[in-house]
Amino acid sequence: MYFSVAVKYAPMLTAIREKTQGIIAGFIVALLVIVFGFWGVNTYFQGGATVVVAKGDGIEIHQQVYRDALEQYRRRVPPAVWETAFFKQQVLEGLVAENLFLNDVERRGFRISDEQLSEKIKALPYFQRNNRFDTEVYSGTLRAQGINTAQFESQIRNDAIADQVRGGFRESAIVTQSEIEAVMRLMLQRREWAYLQIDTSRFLKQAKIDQDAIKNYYDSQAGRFMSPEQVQIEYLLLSAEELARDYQPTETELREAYDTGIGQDAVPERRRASHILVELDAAASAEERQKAVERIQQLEKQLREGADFAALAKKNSDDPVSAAKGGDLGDIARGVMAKEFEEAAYALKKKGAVSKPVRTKFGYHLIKLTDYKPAVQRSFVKAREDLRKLLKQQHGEERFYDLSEDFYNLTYEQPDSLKPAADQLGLEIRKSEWFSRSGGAGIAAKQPVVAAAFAPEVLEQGRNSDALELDDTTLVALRVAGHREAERKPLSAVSGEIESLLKQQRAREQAAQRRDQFMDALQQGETLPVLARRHGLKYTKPSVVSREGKKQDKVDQRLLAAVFQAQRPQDGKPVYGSVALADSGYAVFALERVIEGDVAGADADTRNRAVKLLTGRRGLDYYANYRTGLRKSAEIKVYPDKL
Amino acid sequence: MSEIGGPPVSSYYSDDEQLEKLKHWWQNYGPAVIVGVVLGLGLVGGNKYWHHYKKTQADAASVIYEEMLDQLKRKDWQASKQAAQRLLDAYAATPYAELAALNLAGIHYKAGEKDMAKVRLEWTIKNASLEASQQTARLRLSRILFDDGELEPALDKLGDKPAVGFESEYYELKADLLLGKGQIDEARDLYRNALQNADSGSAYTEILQMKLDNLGAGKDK
Repeated sequence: MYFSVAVKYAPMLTAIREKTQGIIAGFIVALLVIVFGFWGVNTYFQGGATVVVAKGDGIEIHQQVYRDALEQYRRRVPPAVWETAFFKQQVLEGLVAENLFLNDVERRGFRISDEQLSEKIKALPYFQRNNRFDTEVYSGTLRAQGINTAQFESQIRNDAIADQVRGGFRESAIVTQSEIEAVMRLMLQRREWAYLQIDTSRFLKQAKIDQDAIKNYYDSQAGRFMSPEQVQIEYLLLSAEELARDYQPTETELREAYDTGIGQDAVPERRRASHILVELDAAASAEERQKAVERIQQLEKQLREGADFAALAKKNSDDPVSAAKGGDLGDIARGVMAKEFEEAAYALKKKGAVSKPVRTKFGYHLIKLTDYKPAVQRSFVKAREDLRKLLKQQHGEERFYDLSEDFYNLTYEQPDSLKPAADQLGLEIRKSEWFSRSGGAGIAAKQPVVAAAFAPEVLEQGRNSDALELDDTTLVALRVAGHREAERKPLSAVSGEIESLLKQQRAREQAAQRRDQFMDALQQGETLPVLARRHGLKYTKPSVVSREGKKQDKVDQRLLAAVFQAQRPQDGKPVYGSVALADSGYAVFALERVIEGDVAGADADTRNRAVKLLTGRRGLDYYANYRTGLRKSAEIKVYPDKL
Repeated sequence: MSEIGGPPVSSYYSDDEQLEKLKHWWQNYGPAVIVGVVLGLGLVGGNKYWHHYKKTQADAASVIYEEMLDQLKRKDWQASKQAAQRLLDAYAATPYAELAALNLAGIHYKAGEKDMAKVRLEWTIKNASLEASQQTARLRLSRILFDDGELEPALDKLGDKPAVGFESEYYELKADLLLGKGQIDEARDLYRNALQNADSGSAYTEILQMKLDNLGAGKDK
């Protein structure tokens, strides 16, 4: 289309073209430069569509990366915490900070070359065999842990860069002598002070509260003094334990069970084995199989000629993890190893015996029994009590499994009553105590029961709950038998509570008034001991106390803090202050003297502590400050719905 | 578009005419195309070379730097000093140089060579690429001056405002300096700021609290 238009207006265009030649030539140069320029950075345009959970300031956190990070905490953090939005944000925040940091240091030219990276990995102890790095151990270990090699290497690289920057700030810390001494002087500072206590309890007895005040308080506190919503339930319990309660196995049954081998072993047998593996893929060619067979036969021959199994395993086994331990697999329990392997291993009856080559899906094995302790057996009389319990348990479980399907069906199909299920299964309908959403006694102590009782279908529609599996052999179905809405307790039920509350309040006010009077009097020239005597209050004489307080008697922490926060006394006059105490009442104190810490006479502990705190603050903390700064200046957009 | 941008090739014209047009086009734009291609290739090549050069430099510096850190941890001051000096001499364009300078300052200071320490910190303030390194050098230089009793130069070196992230450390030092000058009220406010900006998990907050308390920060009641 452009072309036909162009032909039509060709003469005119020619004229324009001549005039604009210079401009167009320039344009072509610019265009080519731009095109070439982009070739150098085309990697920026690659990459498919990925979900992003946070981005900004040159970083992007992909959803997969975030999920992997979150997954790592799954087993280390309680589920109730792990699932919270707050925790998820913390995890994301960690990733954001890490990415901002790595992005910044890489942009500025910090680098770990491939050679350096390889040195670092080789130095890690996990991948060594005979004190040397081993490629097979490396790839084998990572595979066994389900870690992707590229990811692992990039993690090591990132850690190494962070170590470099962290080390640079930490090792270069400078702490001056004068600041060490200043900090020590503060740590060792002591203060001499006295105090008196105004206990609230002194005013409690005098506090009189009339009925009107109680009623006014009750009326003014709408929404308080509520009794919670409660329910009472009917329930059916199907449990293996209860089903077996009246069952006693007969003597014949016990004897029969013993004869079949149950309960004979007082101590089960123990087998420990080593193996040598010649790896062979299940889909291997005939030629490969031939090679493997030859190799395993060669090894078997060497063993027969007296070669040491452990040494041979170490050198030849294709299972790197066990090879490093001379082929040792530890104790082998039944049902863990491949079937053919297990059969061969259990066929060995003597310690030190070695199997013929065994084929499994992994390849060919030679198995050596390195330790064998046969089971210890016991007589029928000794086994009898255990057998009785076992058979009883088995009986209960059998009956439980027989009845559980009916239990599910009957409670579900007749949703308006538990009676049909109870009649048909021979169970008794029981009733719980009243309980609230926070649970209660007996059956109401079980969280699933409480949740089911307050579920809308059960509470509002009056249906049976689903059959709840409390454990492997216990089922419960329930329905609501009674329901009490949350309601305000009547005044009569709480007037005692309110009265003591108001008394406390009144007494506290009076104690505060007394404190204010004292503070005024002290400004007028009264002294603490005189005031204390006049009012019959407890007075503690002046003593010199360090920041940690006196070891022999417990000083209230708030009082101690207030004393050390008080102004310094001038011209020998004490400084007065007061503080609300932790338990009840107030303390009024007189600070007499501030005694500066004696640096020269300080013990080594105090000096070391000061130096350690300062070195951290002036060194390693700068690395943290750097990272904090990056985070604070970055504008990161988070997509909470993608978390 | 095609009339202007590319060589006109079309079946409306005979072969000769086409050739003639092509020639004409090339006469007009040929030089521009050549200049463009040459410039473009040059840019790509130069760019690639530059990146390669920078990488090689950084790789070498990174290895020396790690040696320096190891030697520092072993307290082999002589060897670490040499490594740091090499970074400053031959790899000044890499970020390893500024961390080396900070560490040289530390080594000098521990050896009692205060003046040398100051020189290294001054160098870092002037040349560092990370704001964090600059701020670190400022704070440390100011502390050394403070230790010498030179309050005004120390305040001057500290500067007007902290780098982002360094607020607590900056306010603390400023408070220490103003307290040294007897400005108790200002110092009290600054300690309070330092405490508010401190990482709440840090053990050092205890010291900041002591510094604040010591100025009578408690309420009267």
